Amino acid sequence: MAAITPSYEIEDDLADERLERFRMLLNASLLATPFVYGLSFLFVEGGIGLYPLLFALTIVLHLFVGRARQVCAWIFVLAAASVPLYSLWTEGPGTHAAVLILLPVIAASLILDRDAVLWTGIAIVVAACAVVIHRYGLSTVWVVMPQPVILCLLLVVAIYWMQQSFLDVVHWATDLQQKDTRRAEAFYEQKQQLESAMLELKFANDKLGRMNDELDTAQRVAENASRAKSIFLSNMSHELRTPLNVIIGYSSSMLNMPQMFDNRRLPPAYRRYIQLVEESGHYLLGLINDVLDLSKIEAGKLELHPAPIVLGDMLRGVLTTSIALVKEKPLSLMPDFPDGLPLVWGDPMRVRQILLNLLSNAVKFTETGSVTLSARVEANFVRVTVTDTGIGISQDLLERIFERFQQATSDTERRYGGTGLGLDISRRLAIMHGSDLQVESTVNQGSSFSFTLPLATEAQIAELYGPALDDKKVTVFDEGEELMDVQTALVVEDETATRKLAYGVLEAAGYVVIETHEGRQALELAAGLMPDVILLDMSLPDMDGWEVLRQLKGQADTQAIPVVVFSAYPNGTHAEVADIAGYIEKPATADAILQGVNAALAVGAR
Amino acid sequence: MKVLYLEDDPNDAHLVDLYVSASKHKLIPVQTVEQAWQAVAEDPQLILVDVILGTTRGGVDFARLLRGHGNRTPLVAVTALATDADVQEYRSAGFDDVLTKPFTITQLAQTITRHVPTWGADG
Repeated sequence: MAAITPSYEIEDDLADERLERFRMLLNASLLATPFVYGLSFLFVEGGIGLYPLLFALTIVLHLFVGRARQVCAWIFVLAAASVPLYSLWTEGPGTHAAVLILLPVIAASLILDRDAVLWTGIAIVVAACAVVIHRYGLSTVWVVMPQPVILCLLLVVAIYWMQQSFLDVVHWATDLQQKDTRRAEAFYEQKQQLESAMLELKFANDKLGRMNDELDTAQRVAENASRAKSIFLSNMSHELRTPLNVIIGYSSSMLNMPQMFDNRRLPPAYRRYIQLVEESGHYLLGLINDVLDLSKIEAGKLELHPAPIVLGDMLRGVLTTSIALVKEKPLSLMPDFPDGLPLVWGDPMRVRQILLNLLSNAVKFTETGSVTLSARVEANFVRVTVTDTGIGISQDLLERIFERFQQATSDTERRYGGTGLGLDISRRLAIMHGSDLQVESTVNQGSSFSFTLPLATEAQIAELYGPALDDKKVTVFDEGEELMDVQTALVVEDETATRKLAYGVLEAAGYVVIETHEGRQALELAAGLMPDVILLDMSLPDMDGWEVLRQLKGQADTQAIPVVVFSAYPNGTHAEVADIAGYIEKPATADAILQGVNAALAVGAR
Repeated sequence: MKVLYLEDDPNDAHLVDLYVSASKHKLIPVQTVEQAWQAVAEDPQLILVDVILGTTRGGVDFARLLRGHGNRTPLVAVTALATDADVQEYRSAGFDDVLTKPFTITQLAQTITRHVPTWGADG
């Protein structure tokens, strides 16, 4: 679209038009002057004096009209005015003087603006009257001048009015045109804005399309990566677990199942190393499980399967499992929770995982003293705390312990081993249960880690068991498959080899085995964990086995637990003999131990 | 009492054989689904199945085959591939239980005892 002239000057156009007319007038004068001169020479006697002068003036004006039009125009008008004045002076007032008086007015109207016409008209009238008064006296004016003056003034007024109307019309037309122009401009501007807006829109649309494509691609890449990661983790897990089965399977059977090898026991020189093989295998397995758990938690794919948990049973269960971790350390594992804890709401498997992580950490970093597992009801939740008397953590290192593959210091890493994934997982699991892992610690005095579990609501219990059930009758197997329908045996024996033999045999037969080498701890464990059967050695370092038996039978809650006496001494010298459920003579074979315990339980069941 | 064990890894088969033999029972180790299907005729009381045979999930096919023929013998998946989704698949294929590799000899014993209740008494 072509650009539009923004404004329009009519005065300039009128001036151009006047210049054109002036040139035509001058040309006409040049042609007319010799003709008029000839006529004057023939008919007007002595009336030719002014004409050569006017002819010359016309030629001069013609030369300068391009450069000073306004001045030339005035000179021309003045020259035109000189003709009637000269005629009045020489010939006096007559008809042709009355017509000639109109000449300067017509000239002015052609080549000057309307104001100039007005002034020219007044000037020529005044000048003509002045000439007549001067030449013929005042009284003559009244006689000869009214006609030409009135004619002249009428012409001036007519021209003035016509030019005004013409200007008005031109102005009006110009206004219209300007309005149109403005409208066209506005329209054009709007159109341009619209076009540029459409261009921008198209550009933005293209960009959006591109971004959408990129987003799709990125999402596909991310999904592929996520799938690849899952497949990789699954494959890695499978590939690592397969050889671990040989490592763990053979080492554990060599250590605990001599009957699988024609009852040939592992020579003691090899035992320590096979144990290392087994422990390392379990360590690797734990690492694989932790890495899988973490990647699941991070991908948001770890789903909780919450259910009401009988917390007391679970706490006793994890304590039982953790006893194996204590090994030879002079360390007691203490339960500290009231009977009849209310049902809590959580994923049993994951809560157990948190507890085992915390307990194994506590045992790992505590050389002497105790590790206590406590639980207290606070408002509408239960706070579970694991407190140890271990090395502790200084305040500035407290945050570091939650970082992955980090322990408080590299020194502890060397001394205690471990990956440092456990606390991270525990904290994340606690967070998923609506809690967080809280740590309090004093260097060389110990640490305590705690988290909370919400109490199970009536609705949650009802959802799972139906509204008719009384929650006191609810039995929840929260210990996973391993402890379902499995009986617990407490082995009290200070001699390590014998204790391990009993442990191996009973565990292989499906018992969950708790071990201890002290009589006092045996009494605590029996009261706290309520095992199904106790295998009791009579010669213990801290107290007499018979005294342990007497106290067990003296307590109301432990009275019913069958006790199998395990001794090198012959039977029959003590009064408590009547209370024992069975007797195994040392040295005992694996079969003898298993049969003795099974028999005692069978009797107890009756 | 007879236990059928479908397992293509001889080391794992040997380990389980050691345990079962020590318990005075008999293990019938087989390496392929075809051998296992033939051995079902010997009427084992428990069938242990490694799910991954070579590179395929042949064990799952075997479970479907067995259950498809109405055989209700206790069936345990013995596998290192035991994510939640995998376990779900095994259960829907007809497995009663999953023993995750690596397993301790205790876990093996408990799993067998759970599905053959008279095992402990006889052993």
